Amino acid sequence: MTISNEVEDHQIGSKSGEKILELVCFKLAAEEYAVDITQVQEVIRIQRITPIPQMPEFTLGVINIRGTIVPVFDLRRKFQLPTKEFDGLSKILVADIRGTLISFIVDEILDNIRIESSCVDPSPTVKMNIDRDCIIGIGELENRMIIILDLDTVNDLINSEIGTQEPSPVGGEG
Amino acid sequence: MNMTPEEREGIIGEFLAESTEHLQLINDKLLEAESLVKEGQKVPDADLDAMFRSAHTIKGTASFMGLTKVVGLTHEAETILQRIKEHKMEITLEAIEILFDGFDVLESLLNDLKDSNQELTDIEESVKRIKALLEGDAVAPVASSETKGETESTLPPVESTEKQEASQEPLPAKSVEMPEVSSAKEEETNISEAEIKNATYISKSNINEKYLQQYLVELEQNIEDFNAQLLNLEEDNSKVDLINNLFRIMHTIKGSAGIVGVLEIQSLAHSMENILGVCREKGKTYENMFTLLFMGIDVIKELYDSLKTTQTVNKDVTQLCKELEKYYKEIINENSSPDKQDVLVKNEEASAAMTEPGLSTDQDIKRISTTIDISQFSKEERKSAEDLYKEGDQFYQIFIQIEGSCPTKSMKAFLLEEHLRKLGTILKISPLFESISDEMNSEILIGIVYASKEKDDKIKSSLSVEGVNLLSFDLMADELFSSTPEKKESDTMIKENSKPVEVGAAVQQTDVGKEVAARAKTSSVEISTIRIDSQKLDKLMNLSGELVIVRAQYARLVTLFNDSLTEQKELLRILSDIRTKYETFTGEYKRIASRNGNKRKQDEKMNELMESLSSRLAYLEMTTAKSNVMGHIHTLDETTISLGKLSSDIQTGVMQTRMMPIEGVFTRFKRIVRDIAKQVEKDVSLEIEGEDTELDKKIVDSLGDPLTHMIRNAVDHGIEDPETRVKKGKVRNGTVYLKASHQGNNICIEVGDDGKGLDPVAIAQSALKKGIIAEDQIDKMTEKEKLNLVFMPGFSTAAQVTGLSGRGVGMDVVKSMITSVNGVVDIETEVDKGTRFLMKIPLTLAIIQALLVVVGAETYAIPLESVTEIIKTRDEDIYSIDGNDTVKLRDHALSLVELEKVIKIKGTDRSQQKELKVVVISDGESQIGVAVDSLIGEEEIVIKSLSNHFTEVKGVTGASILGDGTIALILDPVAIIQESR
Repeated sequence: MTISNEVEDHQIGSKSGEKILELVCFKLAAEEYAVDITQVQEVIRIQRITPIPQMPEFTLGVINIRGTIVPVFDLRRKFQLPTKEFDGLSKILVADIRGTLISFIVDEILDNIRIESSCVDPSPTVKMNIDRDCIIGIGELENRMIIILDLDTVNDLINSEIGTQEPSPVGGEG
Repeated sequence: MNMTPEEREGIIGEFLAESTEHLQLINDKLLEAESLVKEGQKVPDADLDAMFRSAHTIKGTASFMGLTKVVGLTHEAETILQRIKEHKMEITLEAIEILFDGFDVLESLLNDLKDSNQELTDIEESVKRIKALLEGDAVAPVASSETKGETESTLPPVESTEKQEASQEPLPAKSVEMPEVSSAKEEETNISEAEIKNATYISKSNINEKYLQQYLVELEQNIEDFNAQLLNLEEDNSKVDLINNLFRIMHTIKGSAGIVGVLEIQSLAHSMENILGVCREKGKTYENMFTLLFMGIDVIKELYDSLKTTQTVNKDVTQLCKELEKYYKEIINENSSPDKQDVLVKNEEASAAMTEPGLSTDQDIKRISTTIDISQFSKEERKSAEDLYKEGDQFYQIFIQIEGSCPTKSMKAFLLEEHLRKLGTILKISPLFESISDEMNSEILIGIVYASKEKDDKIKSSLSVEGVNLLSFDLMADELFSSTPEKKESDTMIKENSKPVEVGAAVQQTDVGKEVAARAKTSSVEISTIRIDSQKLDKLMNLSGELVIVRAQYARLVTLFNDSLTEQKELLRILSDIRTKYETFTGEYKRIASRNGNKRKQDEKMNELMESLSSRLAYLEMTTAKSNVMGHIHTLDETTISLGKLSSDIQTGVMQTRMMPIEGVFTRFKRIVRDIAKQVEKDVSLEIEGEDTELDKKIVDSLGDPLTHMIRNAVDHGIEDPETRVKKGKVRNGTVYLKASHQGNNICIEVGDDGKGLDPVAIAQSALKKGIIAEDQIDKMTEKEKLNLVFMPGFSTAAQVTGLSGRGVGMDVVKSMITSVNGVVDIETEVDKGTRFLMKIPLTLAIIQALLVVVGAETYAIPLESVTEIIKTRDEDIYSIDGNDTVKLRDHALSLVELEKVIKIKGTDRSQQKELKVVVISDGESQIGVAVDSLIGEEEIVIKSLSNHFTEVKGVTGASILGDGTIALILDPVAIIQESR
């Protein structure tokens, strides 16, 4: 998968007739990352996380988002980046992946950007820590290098790693 | 049918649900019938009827959906039922067996549809058997029916054309008996001629295939209804209201036949309707009409069959129509009174028009009466009609026809309009007079709703224009103004006999009113249950669960407020302390000031300050005292309590909607027990108790399989064969029982038998042989533990493996099913007395009573169901067996586990602890002690599923949100016990 459906749906024409991606940018370790804005349900402050036993390290546990139990994953651990204590800037980014809510810890939420798809390099040659399957590409915007994540693939990867089947398309909560 | 796949799927779902219910009913009734036949008793007609109706409904829906196999099979089964019902066939054990077999095949067809959306099961075999039964019996029916009197013999079998024709033969004979029919001989020849003609009959009908399928479904129902009601009427002539029904049914048959274009049915129905019309008019029946009407409906059925199979009509009905018409004329002449004459004449005229080839006047009348139906009136039209009514106008429905041969049609139309407008108001007309042109070559039918104060004779004469025929002229009943579209059929038939009533008045006690009321009544019964997508209920259930959480949060708020209230009380106390000290201070100061009374300036300043301070203090005291925080908190507390009451009411309510009686599951076992007992040649009866006990649909659904296993086991292995039983001094007939009852938040289901019982020693030996346990384990096992070995996978107690049970699966499936719905199962047995399986299952899956405990930094919930007790144990009481920590609990060794070790949750280091808190949990067989840090207490918690990511986590079944919003994982005692082994 290169571009998720949601991204395609959300691409809108710019003046030059080009597709524009609307993304939410966040910081993780030294890099800037971004995800499709339509997949982001909300960003919340760090709250108490209830651990789930028998899970790999990057699975921090579950949180309660207005009555829905949502798993929290640590992208730093997932992408084998150096770990860091949560601080005032740390946030939980809640994403809706095909009807299932999952959430990720990010170091800091930056801004929302619009980027033309021509500015996205889908197969960058740069050396990266993270799995290339997990990215849509690297976007260049005013001297910023932004790694655009494909959350569907990230979720699939997480799922296969913790040894479960593909989640059903509807409802991951009770 | 042009259905989208989704639509089809939805309809199939409905169909399956419905058909399963019908099958259940049929099976039940068949079982009853079987035992009645065995005892040589008569099977009640009502039962046969019920079975027939159910089979018929399945067939009808299936044919609508194009499920050919289901239709084919049900049709055959229905045929048998119908013949039995009509006493054309003996209800024998053989027939019942074949029916059982047929419906079993039908069930597997339904299962096919459920699983794969296809009809896979082969029906040939079953159909063949039914056919064989039918044919084998076909020789006898006449003889047997003759002894049963005329009622039955007038109902010929309608299954196949051959039989039909055979059954027609009695017809001439019957005609002889009718005094009205003059020349029976002639009739006879006519009919046989007609029959000969049938072979080469070519229908004039131009059948509209688009509506045919739908029409046939409807027609079949109507034929059935007509037959039933006619029989009913024949039995009891006084039930004149049935005439109305019959008339209506026939009218519908006629009308729809017109739409679809089956002229044969249309004309037959018309003739029959005429006869019924006379009956209705006179409010009486004629002895001889039944034979003719039955004959008529049978021919319609025959036409139906032919339409269904070949989409064409292969029968000439002219002769029969003539016969019916003749009879009709006879009965009118016999009884007609002058005032009714014109209606009858009108009927005759209409029927004359009917028989003219190529004319479809009645069809047009139906079409037009729909367009001019009052219930379809616009607001304005209605208003003007109501105004006219208030002025005392009478309302008429008029049908006129301008002859096709008339050259000046537009002029005639103009004339008619002129005449009508002079005498009254044309409320509605179709087609409009202006639209009529001379170029129209065929005759033109015009329907008019007309209001006038003039006498009807005068209106009628105004309509007598050359080249124009008055087809019908009916005074309309005023209930029409409040009528529903369905009502129009009967309403247009109310002639002069109905009196005008208040416009817009509620249903009046006229015939029609009663009829409508009765119909409304039946329809309200029909919709007393509705099917709801279970997902919607799940959603509601979740939401009501949310409500419980919110309530808990409010309760917490109240506690918080109460805490701050205590703080406020402290504040008040301090305030009053300040006041006292201030008073002392000012008093003291004034005393000192008066002593050295010279420092005035300072005094003034001090006084000012003191006054200001005093007023401030007073203000503070006042506001603090005035603030009614305590009262507010009290109100909040009360509100929270009522919120709690409401939310638990809502929860119960929503839960109730998911509840269904266990009956559906239970009743199917009557059949299963019967079949198994037959197969293993035992006499076994099933006793059912508490089948109306209700529990969550999800659980009901999952109970079917485990119960089947247990019942099978009971019959196959539990109950001894009759000889052995007699030898043991027991009654020959074994009993298996199935009981359900409520016990608090649980439902108890009991499956038992009075058979040979289970022998723990034999079970242990058997388990040893199968390698389920080791030899040295046996000695350590209690009797109960030995019994519980039957739940182990791969265990079967039967010495000989029969085809029924003992397939190696069985009780372990039972165990896992019951466990999956958070239930427990227990065995009680006594050798030669019987065995009892006791299952305890929570009423619902969504909310459970749980014990909240703290381990490490987290709170966990343990389903209270599995908690047997809570103990405290001291360090020195713990000893080690095979490296496992164990404590002695009332003569038993109880192994202690740390959750940290078993399911890897983060725990606390307890090596320094002197005393341990231990929660003893049980999975029904064994129990273990789980060490916890502290106990919070019992609480009702809402089960939420963890995200799909965590389905593989062991020892945790879900999560719940506590009052303070934190998440507590729900522990799975069964898995914990398993993991700790």
